[in-house]
Amino acid sequence: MREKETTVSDTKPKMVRGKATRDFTDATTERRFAAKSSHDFTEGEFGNFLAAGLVVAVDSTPAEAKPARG
Amino acid sequence: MGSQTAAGSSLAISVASPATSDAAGYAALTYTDVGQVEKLGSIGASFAKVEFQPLKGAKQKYKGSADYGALQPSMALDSTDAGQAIMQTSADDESQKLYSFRVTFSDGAKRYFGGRNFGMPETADGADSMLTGAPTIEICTKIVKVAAPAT
Repeated sequence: MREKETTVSDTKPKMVRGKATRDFTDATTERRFAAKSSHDFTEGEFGNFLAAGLVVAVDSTPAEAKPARG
Repeated sequence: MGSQTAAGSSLAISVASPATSDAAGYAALTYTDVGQVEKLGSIGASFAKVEFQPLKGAKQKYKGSADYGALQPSMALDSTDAGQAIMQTSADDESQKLYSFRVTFSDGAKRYFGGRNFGMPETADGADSMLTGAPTIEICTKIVKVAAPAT
Protein backbone atom coordinates (compact mmCIF):
# COMPACT_ATOMS: atom_id res chain seq x y z
CA MET A 1 0.00 0.00 0.00
CA ARG A 2 1.26 3.44 -0.90
CA GLU A 3 2.13 5.74 1.96
CA LYS A 4 0.21 8.94 2.25
CA GLU A 5 2.23 11.85 0.88
CA THR A 6 3.14 14.59 3.28
CA THR A 7 3.48 18.22 2.27
CA VAL A 8 6.77 20.00 2.77
CA SER A 9 5.78 22.97 4.88
CA ASP A 10 9.32 24.40 5.07
CA THR A 11 9.07 25.69 1.52
CA LYS A 12 5.80 27.50 2.12
CA PRO A 13 6.32 31.26 2.26
CA LYS A 14 5.25 32.98 5.45
CA MET A 15 2.02 34.84 4.91
CA VAL A 16 1.08 38.26 6.21
CA ARG A 17 -2.48 39.50 6.53
CA GLY A 18 -2.82 42.95 5.06
CA LYS A 19 -5.51 45.42 4.13
CA ALA A 20 -5.45 47.35 0.87
CA THR A 21 -5.48 51.10 1.38
CA ARG A 22 -6.75 51.70 -2.16
CA ASP A 23 -7.64 49.78 -5.30
CA PHE A 24 -4.58 48.31 -6.97
CA THR A 25 -3.47 45.53 -9.29
CA ASP A 26 -0.39 43.33 -9.07
CA ALA A 27 0.88 42.86 -12.63
CA THR A 28 2.94 39.85 -11.52
CA THR A 29 -0.02 37.77 -10.46
CA GLU A 30 -2.74 39.84 -12.13
CA ARG A 31 -4.58 39.88 -8.81
CA ARG A 32 -6.77 42.88 -8.09
CA PHE A 33 -7.22 44.26 -4.62
CA ALA A 34 -10.14 46.46 -3.67
CA ALA A 35 -9.65 49.25 -1.17
CA LYS A 36 -10.27 48.21 2.45
CA SER A 37 -10.31 44.51 1.57
CA SER A 38 -8.04 42.14 3.51
CA HIS A 39 -5.84 39.52 1.90
CA ASP A 40 -3.01 37.16 2.67
CA PHE A 41 0.27 38.19 1.10
CA THR A 42 3.65 36.55 1.07
CA GLU A 43 6.18 38.42 3.18
CA GLY A 44 7.92 39.65 0.04
CA GLU A 45 4.72 40.89 -1.58
CA PHE A 46 3.65 42.57 1.62
CA GLY A 47 7.03 44.32 1.98
CA ASN A 48 6.81 45.69 -1.54
CA PHE A 49 3.21 46.84 -1.20
CA LEU A 50 3.77 48.29 2.27
CA ALA A 51 6.68 50.40 1.03
CA ALA A 52 4.42 51.88 -1.63
CA GLY A 53 1.62 52.55 0.86
CA LEU A 54 -0.71 50.12 -0.86
CA VAL A 55 -1.35 47.97 2.21
CA VAL A 56 -1.24 48.10 5.97
CA ALA A 57 -0.91 45.19 8.35
CA VAL A 58 -4.34 44.19 9.59
CA ASP A 59 -3.09 44.47 13.18
CA SER A 60 -2.17 48.09 12.65
CA THR A 61 -5.80 49.24 12.73
CA PRO A 62 -5.90 52.50 14.71
CA ALA A 63 -6.76 52.01 18.39
CA GLU A 64 -9.87 54.15 18.18
CA ALA A 65 -11.28 51.81 15.52
CA LYS A 66 -11.05 48.83 17.86
CA PRO A 67 -13.95 48.05 20.21
CA ALA A 68 -13.52 49.50 23.68
CA ARG A 69 -12.61 47.09 26.47
CA GLY A 70 -14.58 46.51 29.61
CA MET B 1 17.49 30.41 -28.19
CA GLY B 2 19.02 32.73 -30.78
CA SER B 3 17.58 36.08 -31.69
CA GLN B 4 14.34 37.20 -30.14
CA THR B 5 12.08 40.19 -30.11
CA ALA B 6 11.63 42.43 -27.09
CA ALA B 7 7.93 41.53 -26.87
CA GLY B 8 7.16 39.78 -23.62
CA SER B 9 10.09 41.29 -21.74
CA SER B 10 9.31 42.68 -18.32
CA LEU B 11 10.67 44.85 -15.54
CA ALA B 12 10.15 44.07 -11.87
CA ILE B 13 11.19 45.75 -8.65
CA SER B 14 11.71 44.68 -5.04
CA VAL B 15 12.25 46.88 -2.01
CA ALA B 16 14.42 44.15 -0.47
CA SER B 17 18.15 43.63 -0.94
CA PRO B 18 19.67 40.25 -1.75
CA ALA B 19 21.56 38.37 0.95
CA THR B 20 24.24 37.63 -1.64
CA SER B 21 24.93 39.57 -4.82
CA ASP B 22 24.57 36.57 -7.09
CA ALA B 23 21.79 34.89 -9.03
CA ALA B 24 20.63 32.85 -6.03
CA GLY B 25 20.52 35.92 -3.79
CA TYR B 26 18.51 37.96 -6.26
CA ALA B 27 16.23 35.06 -7.23
CA ALA B 28 15.26 34.58 -3.58
CA LEU B 29 13.60 38.01 -3.47
CA THR B 30 9.96 38.70 -4.26
CA TYR B 31 9.51 41.10 -7.14
CA THR B 32 6.51 43.05 -8.32
CA ASP B 33 6.17 43.48 -12.07
CA VAL B 34 5.87 47.01 -13.35
CA GLY B 35 2.80 47.22 -15.56
CA GLN B 36 2.23 49.04 -18.84
CA VAL B 37 5.91 49.18 -19.77
CA GLU B 38 6.41 50.28 -23.36
CA LYS B 39 10.21 50.18 -23.59
CA LEU B 40 12.97 49.06 -21.28
CA GLY B 41 15.95 50.80 -22.87
CA SER B 42 19.59 49.79 -22.79
CA ILE B 43 21.13 47.77 -20.02
CA GLY B 44 24.83 47.11 -19.59
CA ALA B 45 28.08 48.47 -18.26
CA SER B 46 30.54 50.62 -20.14
CA PHE B 47 34.03 51.79 -19.33
CA ALA B 48 35.49 55.24 -19.42
CA LYS B 49 38.08 55.72 -22.12
CA VAL B 50 41.51 56.79 -20.96
CA GLU B 51 43.66 58.09 -23.77
CA PHE B 52 47.30 58.97 -24.05
CA GLN B 53 48.91 60.47 -27.07
CA PRO B 54 52.65 59.95 -27.02
CA LEU B 55 54.80 62.25 -29.07
CA LYS B 56 55.84 59.27 -31.07
CA GLY B 57 53.36 56.61 -32.13
CA ALA B 58 49.63 56.07 -32.22
CA LYS B 59 47.15 57.14 -29.59
CA GLN B 60 46.94 54.66 -26.76
CA LYS B 61 43.55 53.77 -25.32
CA TYR B 62 42.84 52.15 -21.98
CA LYS B 63 39.76 51.07 -20.16
CA GLY B 64 39.10 53.25 -17.17
CA SER B 65 36.40 53.11 -14.50
CA ALA B 66 33.31 51.01 -15.04
CA ASP B 67 29.86 52.59 -15.16
CA TYR B 68 27.05 50.09 -14.84
CA GLY B 69 24.79 52.41 -16.77
CA ALA B 70 21.18 53.43 -16.35
CA LEU B 71 17.92 51.85 -17.34
CA GLN B 72 15.42 54.32 -18.76
CA PRO B 73 12.12 52.55 -19.35
CA SER B 74 8.94 54.29 -20.39
CA MET B 75 5.46 53.29 -19.36
CA ALA B 76 1.85 54.38 -19.66
CA LEU B 77 0.96 55.76 -16.24
CA ASP B 78 -1.45 53.55 -14.32
CA SER B 79 -2.40 54.75 -10.86
CA THR B 80 -3.67 51.29 -9.90
CA ASP B 81 -0.51 49.40 -10.83
CA ALA B 82 1.43 48.18 -7.79
CA GLY B 83 4.76 47.99 -9.63
CA GLN B 84 4.46 51.58 -10.78
CA ALA B 85 3.57 52.64 -7.24
CA ILE B 86 6.75 51.00 -5.96
CA MET B 87 8.72 52.65 -8.76
CA GLN B 88 7.30 56.01 -7.67
CA THR B 89 8.23 55.24 -4.07
CA SER B 90 11.80 54.47 -5.14
CA ALA B 91 11.90 57.75 -7.09
CA ASP B 92 10.64 59.74 -4.09
CA ASP B 93 13.03 58.01 -1.68
CA GLU B 94 15.57 60.60 -0.53
CA SER B 95 17.81 58.00 1.11
CA GLN B 96 20.63 56.10 -0.57
CA LYS B 97 18.69 52.83 -0.35
CA LEU B 98 19.30 50.37 -3.15
CA TYR B 99 16.26 48.74 -4.71
CA SER B 100 16.53 45.41 -6.49
CA PHE B 101 15.49 45.11 -10.11
CA ARG B 102 14.85 42.18 -12.41
CA VAL B 103 14.60 42.38 -16.18
CA THR B 104 13.21 39.27 -17.84
CA PHE B 105 13.52 38.69 -21.56
CA SER B 106 10.95 36.75 -23.54
CA ASP B 107 13.07 33.57 -23.54
CA GLY B 108 13.30 33.63 -19.74
CA ALA B 109 16.82 35.05 -19.47
CA LYS B 110 17.15 37.43 -16.53
CA ARG B 111 19.21 40.43 -15.53
CA TYR B 112 19.40 41.36 -11.86
CA PHE B 113 20.89 44.48 -10.34
CA GLY B 114 20.62 46.97 -7.53
CA GLY B 115 19.81 50.53 -8.42
CA ARG B 116 18.51 53.90 -7.36
CA ASN B 117 15.67 55.64 -9.12
CA PHE B 118 16.71 59.22 -9.71
CA GLY B 119 13.28 60.43 -10.77
CA MET B 120 10.15 59.47 -12.61
CA PRO B 121 8.93 62.48 -14.60
CA GLU B 122 5.48 62.31 -16.11
CA THR B 123 4.92 63.37 -19.70
CA ALA B 124 1.66 64.69 -21.14
CA ASP B 125 2.27 64.99 -24.86
CA GLY B 126 -0.21 65.45 -27.70
CA ALA B 127 -3.88 64.55 -27.56
CA ASP B 128 -3.32 61.23 -29.27
CA SER B 129 -0.75 59.95 -26.85
CA MET B 130 -0.76 58.31 -23.46
CA LEU B 131 0.37 59.94 -20.26
CA THR B 132 3.73 58.35 -19.65
CA GLY B 133 6.28 57.99 -16.91
CA ALA B 134 9.99 57.72 -17.59
CA PRO B 135 12.08 56.74 -14.59
CA THR B 136 15.86 56.84 -14.61
CA ILE B 137 17.22 53.86 -12.74
CA GLU B 138 20.93 54.27 -12.19
CA ILE B 139 22.47 50.82 -11.96
CA CYS B 140 24.75 50.73 -8.94
CA THR B 141 25.85 47.09 -8.82
CA LYS B 142 27.31 44.62 -11.24
CA ILE B 143 24.54 43.21 -13.43
CA VAL B 144 23.95 39.53 -12.71
CA LYS B 145 23.07 37.69 -15.89
CA VAL B 146 21.07 34.48 -15.82
CA ALA B 147 20.75 32.55 -19.07
CA ALA B 148 17.41 31.38 -20.39
CA PRO B 149 16.37 27.99 -19.06
CA ALA B 150 17.16 25.09 -21.36
CA THR B 151 14.16 23.94 -23.33
